[in-house]
Amino acid sequence: MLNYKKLLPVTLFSLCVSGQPLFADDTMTVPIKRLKMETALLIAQAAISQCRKEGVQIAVTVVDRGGHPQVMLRDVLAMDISLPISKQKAHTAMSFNTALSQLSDRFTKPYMAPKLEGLILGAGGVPINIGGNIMGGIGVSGAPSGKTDEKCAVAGLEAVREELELDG
Amino acid sequence: MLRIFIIFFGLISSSLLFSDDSKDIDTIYSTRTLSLDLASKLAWQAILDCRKRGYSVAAAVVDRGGNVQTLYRDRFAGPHTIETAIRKAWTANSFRQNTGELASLLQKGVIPNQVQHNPGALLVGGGVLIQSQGGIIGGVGVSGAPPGKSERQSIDGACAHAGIESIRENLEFD
Repeated sequence: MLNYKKLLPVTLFSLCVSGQPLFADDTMTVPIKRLKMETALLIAQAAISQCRKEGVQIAVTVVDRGGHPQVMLRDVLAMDISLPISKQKAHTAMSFNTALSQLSDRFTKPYMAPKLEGLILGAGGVPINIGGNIMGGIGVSGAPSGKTDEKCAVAGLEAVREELELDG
Repeated sequence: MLRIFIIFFGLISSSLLFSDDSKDIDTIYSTRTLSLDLASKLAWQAILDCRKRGYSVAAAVVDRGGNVQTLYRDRFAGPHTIETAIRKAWTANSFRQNTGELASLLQKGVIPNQVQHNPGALLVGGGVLIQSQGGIIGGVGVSGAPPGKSERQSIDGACAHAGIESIRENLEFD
């Protein structure tokens, strides 16, 4: 049995400290920041141009936090399948809020979450996380190694990071 | 005499039949593809044109193989517009006809009803052929605006046309 009398002071104390009561919030909605299409486009173009510098033509997808693509670009010589793979990478990175290179050895058993349709764990996806706000994900596919894919995805994010951070 | 004639005839006919094949081996042909820059400009201008009309849409460009080169989805375009835009572009490109025209022919019964159930095909106005110097080099599809006066005069299609017009000079002279 829980001793509520003992818990009460603890609860009151924690309410005072955090200043954020659990249920008595004064707003009924949550504002969520989203990328403009123009921003998503800047990210995608920066990823393409970074990979061209690396000497590979790739496909890149930027998804919003609903997992829906905002911009997809496939360089002229990039394979057709690189486009859906880039979308899956972007979606996975956004959902797990982690660069996919960090996840490669995390799900090793046969029936774990990433076996779900539409998710993929190969390196080349990074989340767009600005100050704790998850705004989407970037996925790159088409380079010979996932490392290069990820480098291009990161270059896409770096192209807009400062401005996004300034916008708060 | 007859023997000479047969040999002569045989020589002529064989040269007629095989001359092209033996001289230059004609096993490869080339197609043209939009550069990523031009495909991007096309999609972007289609989006802008629809913005001017007050609509948030998605615009997709596919190459001659039907594979997506660029996809832009504007701020308030719903998630279904992605797939719809791609399928319109794919259909225009593969059927070698704008989807507004195809939809109109479907309504009149000129195109068999079953055609609209072809996997991947979407016979709804808004998909437009990209033509360059007399050849087809891909398709552009727009989705998200409300229907226009008719399938041939769909708003999606008008935005797609605006996108193509913005790169018309490059298409014809590059």
